[in-house]
Amino acid sequence: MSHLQGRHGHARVAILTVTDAEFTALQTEFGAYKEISYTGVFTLEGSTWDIGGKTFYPFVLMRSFDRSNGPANESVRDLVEKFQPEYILLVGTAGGIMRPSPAGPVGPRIGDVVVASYVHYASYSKSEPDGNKQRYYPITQPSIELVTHANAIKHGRNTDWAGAVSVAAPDENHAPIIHVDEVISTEAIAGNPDSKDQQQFLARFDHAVGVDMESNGVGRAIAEAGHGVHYAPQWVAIRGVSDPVASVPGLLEDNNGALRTQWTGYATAVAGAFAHRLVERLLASPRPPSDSDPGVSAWPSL
Amino acid sequence: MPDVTFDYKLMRSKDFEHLLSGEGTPVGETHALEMIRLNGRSLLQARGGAGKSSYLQRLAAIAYKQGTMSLVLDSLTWVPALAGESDRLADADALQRLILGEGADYEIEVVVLLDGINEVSSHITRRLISAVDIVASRYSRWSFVLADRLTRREVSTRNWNLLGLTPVSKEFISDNISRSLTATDYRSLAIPFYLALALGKMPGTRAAQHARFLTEHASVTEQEVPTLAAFAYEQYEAHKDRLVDELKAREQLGNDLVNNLVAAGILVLQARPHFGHHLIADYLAAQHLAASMARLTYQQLDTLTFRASSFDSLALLLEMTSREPDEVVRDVFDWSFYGAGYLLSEDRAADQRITPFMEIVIVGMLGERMFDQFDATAIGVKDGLRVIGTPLSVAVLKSDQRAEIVRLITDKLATLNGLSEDQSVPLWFTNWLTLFSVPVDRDSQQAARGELQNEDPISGWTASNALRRSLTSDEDVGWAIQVLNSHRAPQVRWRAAHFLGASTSADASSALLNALDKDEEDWVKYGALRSLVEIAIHVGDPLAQQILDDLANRRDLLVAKPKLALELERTLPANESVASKWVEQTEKLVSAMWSVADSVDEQDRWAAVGRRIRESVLVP
Repeated sequence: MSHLQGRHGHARVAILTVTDAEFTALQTEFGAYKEISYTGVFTLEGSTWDIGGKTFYPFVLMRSFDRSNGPANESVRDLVEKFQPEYILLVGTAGGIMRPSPAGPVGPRIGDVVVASYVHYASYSKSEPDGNKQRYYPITQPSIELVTHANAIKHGRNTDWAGAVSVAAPDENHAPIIHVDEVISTEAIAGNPDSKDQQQFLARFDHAVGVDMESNGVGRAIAEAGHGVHYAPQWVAIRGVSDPVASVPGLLEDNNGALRTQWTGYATAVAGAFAHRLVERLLASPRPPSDSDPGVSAWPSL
Repeated sequence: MPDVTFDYKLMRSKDFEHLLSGEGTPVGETHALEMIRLNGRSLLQARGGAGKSSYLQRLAAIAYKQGTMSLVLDSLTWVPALAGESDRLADADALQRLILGEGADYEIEVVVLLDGINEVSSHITRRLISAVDIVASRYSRWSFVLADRLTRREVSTRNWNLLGLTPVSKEFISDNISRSLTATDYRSLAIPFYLALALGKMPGTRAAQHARFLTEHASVTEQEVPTLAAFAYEQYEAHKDRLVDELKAREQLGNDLVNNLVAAGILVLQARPHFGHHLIADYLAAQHLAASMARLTYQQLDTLTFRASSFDSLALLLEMTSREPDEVVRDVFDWSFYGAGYLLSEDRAADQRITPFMEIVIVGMLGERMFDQFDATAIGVKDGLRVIGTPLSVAVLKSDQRAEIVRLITDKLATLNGLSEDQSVPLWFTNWLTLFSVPVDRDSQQAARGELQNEDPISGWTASNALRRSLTSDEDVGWAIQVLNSHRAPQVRWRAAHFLGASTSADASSALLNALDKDEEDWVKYGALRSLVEIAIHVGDPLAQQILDDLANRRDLLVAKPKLALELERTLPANESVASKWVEQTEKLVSAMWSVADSVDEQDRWAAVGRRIRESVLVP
């Protein structure tokens, strides 16, 4: 009997999105229109296979039940329980951090892709008389294996995935650049992510290139999900930049809302296209059998 | 224990509203385990005597037939393994170890049947539910069923099955009880425990049955019962659960009696000594209080019920008391109106000692809270009315305005037997009905103010609500502030704080902040906090922001008193009457509570409050 067996079967890859628009875009990208039972989790029609009476899926797609780290945490726990995936991909949009330089603002542009190689959870701190002190608790960081795959796609010659983005970029000359680097995950405690706290985070984590509100929840869920030596899921976050975030006030023009409206569709789609390429690479390698697992053959293509 | 051959069935409900109303879809035995496995977690809720423990045994038998391992555990066996401080992951590990210690394995299908989660404190129950949630998400081959009383729990209906038990069918009852039966009889006999009593298998009330058990199985003499009852109550007070100090037991009860109790399973002395039969322990603790003719205090009721998490002992107290049952209900009402509703519900299914007049009062006062400012209160009282389940409470539940409730209780009054003469209606009820149904005006104001200060909690709270509805001038506010600042009785100060929640004046909010800071009684602080949030919801800026910022500056006080933090958590998420800027207004307060949280779990808690505030305001 396989260790990798959730209540509804096993999926090698689980993809988690956050917003409704992200979910729709990823459904389109992956053709994931077949709902599994009444779970709210979708897969590609005809893509399942049975081994020993258990159902296997190459990938499944789910939308987090809400934004922010808490719901993302619960959603990953849900996926783990239902499908015990090997890999979990958090795919969607995020803010790209622009920092001052002599040549002007630098950082991920709107429409680029950020792959998190490390997640800083900025919002866990202790208020003390002499200031805010950063605190930490264990999370599982994005896996080296998945980050290596991301870098291989980034540096590889085959960039046809970028040409296959399902939504046209508002700027027809835009060619997405992949940034594999640190990301800050924050918490919108009371609904104001533009507070001065965010400016402090951006200064404190001065190498980070992206900001989101779900990566920490995913990393934390995975840290809690692994048990023993038999199940250690891996994950990575793939985010299309839909918002430029200034690391210092006044660095950028104040037209964030308009830009976001223009670019969100593309940003989601380009993250989805990148994720698609990554999933293909993962499924192209079989999982060899062992005493406790029948293994999984390679999936030909998506 | 009820006979498992009674024809009650398992049912599945889609939400708590349906479960608490006794509505659901019956589930056949062949499908029960499959359904339980698919979600991995199920709450099986029913009132006392409905057959929960028996049904867990039935599920164990089904599992055995299907070749699945099952474990039937009492919640108390898990509690000792808990770490002192709440820690979700440590609690989950403790539960895992307990299950593995019983012979389970990660790789085999196991159904864990956990009985009596309502028999431990509500704080421990929350930890247990969280631990089950985590363990079920990690190990897909393990499934859990938790037996519980009828109450709303904080679980997601996305992945928890809500299960109940259908009543015994009318046909079964008619086939087995030869005398003619009224609708009230059927209602009572639909509960297996009472049907078993009627069939002669367990003659007498529940209390009488427990007394007989002590005599027949533990050789407890009549003379020993008061000492044993006092001991049980002391242990409840000392430990706030069913743990027992063995040394004290031997000192106070003597070795012979202790050995008899151990032999009968009433005391369990291995590992952490505890009461083995929780119903017997409840009976004894309730017996101790029932022997006194004095009014019940908040502290006694907190002790008996583990701070309102286990109400079976209240029903036993009502059975045994020599006081007028309505007087016991008054004491309970003053402490918790949910408790009073529960008591009414149990009484109506059993001896029906509470008068119909008191039933009208309880149902009416719960009913008017359906329109409460705060969703948590409105939902809680609706749950209470569902559980009461009498025709009046069902009708009140459907009301969409207070005037309708007044009409319903007036109509009910008219149908009571013997009301052709006015003398049969007690004076206290007539006075209450006037206060409840007739708006207070300048002529009746003095009388109403006097009633607010009445020792009787029912008159007092009715007056507080009546004054809130009718009069909130500066003079009214000034009077209430004086009562809040200086009345000797904390219950009266609490009612004055409640009244001030209907005001929009800065003087009222200052007085309430002062009470929050300085009143020595926690219930008064609780009332003050609640009223402050209420004022902030209704009044515009700058006062609203000032109140919320003042509360943020008192975050250390709020954290130090769990009841206050809990009330803040319950009241801040908006209901439909709140403006969209409530998100911005509450930001500083929620962030303040977050920033002083001393654990990740506590931070999660306040992040969830922030999220609920945003969600509730965004919903049109």
